[in-house]
Amino acid sequence: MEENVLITRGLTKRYGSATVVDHVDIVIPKGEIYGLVGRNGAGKTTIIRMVSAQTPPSEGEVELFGATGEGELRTARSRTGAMVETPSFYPYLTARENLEYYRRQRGIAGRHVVEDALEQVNLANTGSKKFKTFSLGMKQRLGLALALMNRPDLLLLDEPINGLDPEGIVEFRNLLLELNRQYRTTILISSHILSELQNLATCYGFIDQGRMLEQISAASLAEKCRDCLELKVDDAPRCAALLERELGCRDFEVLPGGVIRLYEGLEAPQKVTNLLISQGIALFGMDHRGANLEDYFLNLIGGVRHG
Amino acid sequence: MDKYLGAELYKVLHRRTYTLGLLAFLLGGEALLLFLLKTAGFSNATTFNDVLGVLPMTLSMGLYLVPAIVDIVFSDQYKQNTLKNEVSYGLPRGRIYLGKLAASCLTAVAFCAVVLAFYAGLGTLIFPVRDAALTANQFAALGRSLAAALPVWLGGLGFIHMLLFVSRGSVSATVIYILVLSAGDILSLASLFLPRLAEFFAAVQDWLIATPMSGILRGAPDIPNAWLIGMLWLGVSTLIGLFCFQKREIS
Repeated sequence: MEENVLITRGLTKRYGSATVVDHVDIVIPKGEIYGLVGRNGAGKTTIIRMVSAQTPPSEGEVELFGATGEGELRTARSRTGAMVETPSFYPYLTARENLEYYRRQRGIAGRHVVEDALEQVNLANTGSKKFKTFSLGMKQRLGLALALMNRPDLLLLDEPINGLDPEGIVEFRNLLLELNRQYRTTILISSHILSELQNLATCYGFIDQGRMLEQISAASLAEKCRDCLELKVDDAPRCAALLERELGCRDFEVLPGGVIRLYEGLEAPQKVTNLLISQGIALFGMDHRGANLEDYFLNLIGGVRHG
Repeated sequence: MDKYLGAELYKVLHRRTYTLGLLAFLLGGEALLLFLLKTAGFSNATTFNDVLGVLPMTLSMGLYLVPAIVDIVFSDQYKQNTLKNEVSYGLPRGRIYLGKLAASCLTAVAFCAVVLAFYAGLGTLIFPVRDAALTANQFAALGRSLAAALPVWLGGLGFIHMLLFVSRGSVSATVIYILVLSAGDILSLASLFLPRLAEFFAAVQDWLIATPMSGILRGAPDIPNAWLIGMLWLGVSTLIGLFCFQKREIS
């Protein structure tokens, strides 16, 4: 049976009368890259902060590697690496000294793990440069190095590519994919840059106003977002039969309201219109549709809100 | 806990500018004091015994230095947001609190040892030792003063440590700490205006953290009382700090 690395049950966080996370259930099996998608203030960071013990849930529970009790959870957290919001380190220490401090504190054996982590994120040559003089991108890299230092089974990453330059983003993506491929590291990642998330995630959780709207695998999402011709006709069953018989179409779906989504023959839509006109079917509209993660998310939350 | 403590001491040793700066300030102050004693009008009569006799009177300064020493370890955690790296890894909050407290205690004791050794060492170099028997007695008296001052410092250290963990910033914590140190004087003043409460104020004064220092200044340290008050402040502060930190949101 596939091990679930992280499960949240009814996870809720309230600040006074405001509910920022509302009964969120998440299941992340081992080896998945779970993209948490939502706009600012949707509750993404709060979920990750509850999972990483930075804030206690008001209700609900977190299960990590099968552990739910307080003591067990603490032990389980030593198998995680977290980078939540802006990376925070001691400003007067160098990158190497900061990591060495945490290595000693966590009891991770071998001084080489510090060098390995710095090399993984291209910070090995920062020498005596103090953390306070680092650029945002360098700080992000050091945050990632700390998260990776204990070779975690679960990575919790909140907006990890903020501040990285394009080259850094590609390196970061490749590093995560490599960790996931080589060690089956499970990753929970939130990001505003949905196009980047689309390059990584194997499943998604869409969250808005603290509520989980939908959880979907990347494969199902790709299926839903496929390019199609969307037809609106007066007689959908007859139209479907005609498409099948006259044009040999097999890949389409009939939706309520006289809507048909046709996933093949997109290069010659005039064939479809000619057929429908010749057979006396009223065509009220025809759209070439296709969606990316952004479109899908915006549709899910009901479009862009103004004001 | 030993790994945690080791990491904290590693951090202290690598916070060179602050640590060495504070040490240089203290040693410089001592050197200046000895220089003034040497160059004062009565310099010819000044002996090492006189210099040593001044030392117990300076021990109350330790209470005012405690916030600076605790900050070497605490390092403005809430401003730097570094605590999230510790709790997210599953380190128990009790270990975090007590580990930093223990590191602060060790750092304070190390500072105290260096500062006293420097004063005594430089004093013997600059001033003649005229009376060996008196010197031995003075060292014994200094030992008694230190035995009384140490628990008071630790009590103050536990108190400022709690304030730093509980409050939002180190400035507000330090202001509260200084106000509490001055509480004895404030109560004495209040007794003049509220004579009916004078007895109550006097009873409260007996339990204030700075009270045992007056005995040290008079050359009559009450060691058991100093330990009672110091450990009480350390114990109660630690319990309150641990309780509050367990529930605290780490941002």
